[in-house]
Amino acid sequence: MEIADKDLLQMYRWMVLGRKFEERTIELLKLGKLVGFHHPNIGQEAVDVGTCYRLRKDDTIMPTHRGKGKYLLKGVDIKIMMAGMFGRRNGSGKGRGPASHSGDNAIGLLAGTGLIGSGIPISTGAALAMKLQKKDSVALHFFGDGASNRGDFHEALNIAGVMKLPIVYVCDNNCYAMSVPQACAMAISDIAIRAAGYGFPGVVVDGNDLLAVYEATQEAISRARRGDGPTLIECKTYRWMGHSINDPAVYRSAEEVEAWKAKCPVRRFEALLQRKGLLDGAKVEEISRSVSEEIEEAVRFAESSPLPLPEDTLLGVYAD
Amino acid sequence: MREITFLEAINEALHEEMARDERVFIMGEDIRIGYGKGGAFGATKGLVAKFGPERVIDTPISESAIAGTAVGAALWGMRPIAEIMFSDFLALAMDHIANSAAKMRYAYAGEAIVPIVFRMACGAGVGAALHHSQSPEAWITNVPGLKVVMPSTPHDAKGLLKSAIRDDNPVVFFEHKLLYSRLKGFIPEEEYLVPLGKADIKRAGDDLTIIATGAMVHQALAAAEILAQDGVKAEVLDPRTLVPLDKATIFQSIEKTGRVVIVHEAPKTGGIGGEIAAIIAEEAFYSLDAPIKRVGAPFTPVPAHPILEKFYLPNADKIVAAARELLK
Amino acid sequence: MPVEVQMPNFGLSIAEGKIERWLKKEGDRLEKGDLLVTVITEKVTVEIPAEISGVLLKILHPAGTTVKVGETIALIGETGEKVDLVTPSAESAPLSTSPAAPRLERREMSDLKISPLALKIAQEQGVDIRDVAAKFPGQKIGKKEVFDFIEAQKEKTKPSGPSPSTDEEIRPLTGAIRAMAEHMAASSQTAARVTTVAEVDMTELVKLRNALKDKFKKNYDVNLTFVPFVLKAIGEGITDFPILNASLRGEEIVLHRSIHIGIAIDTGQNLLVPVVRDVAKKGIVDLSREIQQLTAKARDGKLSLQDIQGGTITLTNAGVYGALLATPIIHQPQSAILWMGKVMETPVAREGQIVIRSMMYLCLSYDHRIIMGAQAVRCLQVIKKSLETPQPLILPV
Repeated sequence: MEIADKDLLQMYRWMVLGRKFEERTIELLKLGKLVGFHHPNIGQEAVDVGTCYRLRKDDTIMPTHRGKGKYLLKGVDIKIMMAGMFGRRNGSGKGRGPASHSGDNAIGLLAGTGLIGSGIPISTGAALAMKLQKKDSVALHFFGDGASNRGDFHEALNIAGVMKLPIVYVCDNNCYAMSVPQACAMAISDIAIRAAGYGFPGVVVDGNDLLAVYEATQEAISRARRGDGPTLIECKTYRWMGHSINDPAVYRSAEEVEAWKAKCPVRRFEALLQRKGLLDGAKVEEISRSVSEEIEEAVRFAESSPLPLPEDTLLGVYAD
Repeated sequence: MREITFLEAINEALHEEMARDERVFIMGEDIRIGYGKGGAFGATKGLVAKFGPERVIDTPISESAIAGTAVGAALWGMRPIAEIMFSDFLALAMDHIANSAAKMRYAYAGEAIVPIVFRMACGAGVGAALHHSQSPEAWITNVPGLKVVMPSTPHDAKGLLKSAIRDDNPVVFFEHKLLYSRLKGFIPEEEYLVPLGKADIKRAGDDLTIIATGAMVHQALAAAEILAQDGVKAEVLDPRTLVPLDKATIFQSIEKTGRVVIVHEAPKTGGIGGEIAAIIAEEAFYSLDAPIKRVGAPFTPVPAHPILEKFYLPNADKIVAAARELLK
Repeated sequence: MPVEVQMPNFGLSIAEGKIERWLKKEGDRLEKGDLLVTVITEKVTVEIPAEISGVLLKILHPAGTTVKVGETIALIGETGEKVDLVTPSAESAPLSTSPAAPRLERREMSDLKISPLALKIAQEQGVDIRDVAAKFPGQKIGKKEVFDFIEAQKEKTKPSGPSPSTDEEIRPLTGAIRAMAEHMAASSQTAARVTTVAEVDMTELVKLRNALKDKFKKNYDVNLTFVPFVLKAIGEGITDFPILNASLRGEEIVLHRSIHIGIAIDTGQNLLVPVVRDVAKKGIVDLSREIQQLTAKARDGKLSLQDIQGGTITLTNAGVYGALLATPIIHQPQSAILWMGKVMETPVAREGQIVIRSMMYLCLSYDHRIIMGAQAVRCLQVIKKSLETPQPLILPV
């Protein structure tokens, strides 16, 4: 697949932003500044960037609880995202809903719910709407290995398959559902084979290879736009930290973690671009600084944003 | 005016609203053909012929995904009607009705609507036994974000279903299966709507208020006839919408009569009669000239044999007995 | 021994009061000063406080009954005291004909099946629910039983009289009309009333008022009438002739040092005379405001006893109705009353010319038992001259 240099550099910047955003989030969590739960995404940046780079505004995504990069790639203002994570009145969710399940239909960001796997039929419903509206937009739905065992996974993919809906199901298989390893939760190694049960292709992809993820996604999107139906993309990847910052992840060995860290998706892509002559030490430094500044501006914005009023509790339950 | 059945009223509402707004579509099990007419009961008769298979979707047996995809479609600009064949299967769709649909607008901080009607056939009296006969409204009347409707007549069924489809909130719409083909009623020729959130006095009276829902409205009316022979004039109040409840009409009636019997088909324990009674005791205490009485089913599943089902169901005689106790 | 609460003596000429609403119920514990009952007289509505602390043992006359001044209306004592019911007079409705009813403990109350609605109605009607329960022993007490009880009480007190003829409309002599009848008769029979009249050239005052009235509305939100000027003028007259501001009390002439002027207001149902106090110490702005407030209170029925007591002289403004002259009756126990007629454009002779001036008659009735004619006439002239050159009246006090 031919990708322009400026796109490659853009993708790289998104990777750095994804990484640094999560690092800063962990710091803020430890300082007690954030509201609600935030699950670190370090190590899975390539899945976010590879799937969400250059989506159309009228394509939809529904992220999981892990990977804020997807929100930013889809067009959420980083300041609003951060303010939402601080639980502020002008941020994503406005303090009433958690930032990590917030939505903005104007930019194709669907809100999920706090139930693992329940989002699958909801994205499928959006894809149904697109088909009924005769649009060529596409729904992308994200879920982890654990969610693929839910009944909703089966029911929704079955409907998507029989109705040939324009949806791409992206499973980030990071080997564990909280503390339960994949081998304990299913008898198969590749979740992608389940797609066959619903009549559409399932592909396995190195989730830490940004361009591989990007290619697979673009192909699945084209398929969907053509009206040829869904695809299930399984991205094999790994999270460097526990499920949440409170999880010491004693269910994993240090060796396993180190082995995956060696396959860091950010470093890999950086090395690739360096080999292509698009990046050097100075450029890396510059992008790093620019990203840090962007994140700090967002933190400053969030810290000075207004708190929600107690009576806000009562707003927005019913539509008039 | 013309006379139609409860089922025809539902069907007409579906036809009219699907013709009016192309964003409205319907999905559910067996709704295209069913037993030949469209739908397990025939409520969706004629829809696929008129609007095409795209807008009248037969789904797999997947109540959870039916409800969940309805939420996604509603978020993305459509106005789905999701049919859950039997209200007992509400349990399967509960996550998407209570956790997804009901809370989505709040999660969006008020910046999205979820205009879905979840239609389900409820109620006992046809020998359908434990898992096809329940009235589970109490399972969801405590979930903020939903509206819950239970019509009792063809007139109300048609008008309320049209209003529910036009409402931008998720509405759970209970249709009592016993009324489908056995109840006829008159409706106007011209188009009409019945507003959600407004109760209806089905029969006026001064001595006693009977608040009744769904099929029990007709038992209450029969009870009122029996009481009239004693010279007792009972007022039958049909809330029509359970959430939001029309408290004003209820208070007005009790102010007038001073006595109330609340009757619903669901078991009395933990039923919505308790919520209504508490509201009355809390806000209209000094209008009460007698204690509040509730009539409901016993605290058992719906039994299979007709003898047992008859024992189980509240009816006019049980309502009359409760009323007479109040009037003693 | 329980203490009797009586219908108070409101003074003036009030003979009876109608119990509008009991503010406490039987069994309530009272602190001295707690408001007990609202009573309407023909003049004002009054709230009566408890004179002692204790328990309100018994309400003898329910809301809606009219009771003569001095009659016992309630009993305050301590829980458990025997309540000895005095046989009530024929005009008021008795509450219970049973002998001394002991106070029921809460336990005993719970044996009675009383609906919330019955309790509410009983309280509103000033009925003791236990009396109702006593009338229907063993029964559930609902709204019906309370109303049956009340009806039964009414039956006992229906008055009987001669049947009226068809050519007559009969009205009872009660309330405000009765009070007026008694007061006017008494005044005419005691005071030696003479009336003297002066003609006042109001032209300058008309000009002055026109000049000031917009400013008064804008700056002080008051409608400026002639009345505050007349009050000030009366003040001038009394300063020179204090005997006009006096009362004959038995064998003593009581000269009042302060000038409190009552302003007669006809509300349609009632003639009320609220008092503007200390007129000498107030300026035109304050007087205007006070007049406006008292008038509004009178029209809304919100005058208190204090508002209508303590006047030393009275002013009636009948000019607004177009009247020319009158011989007003003095408001007891005062000795003088001033009456102003309408201000009219009149041709008068000034320096040999006929000119049109705004003229008004001022009529002063005075009690010739203590006021001599010359005093009254000269006082009236002072008032007249004061009104004819009104500028000094608006000087700050």
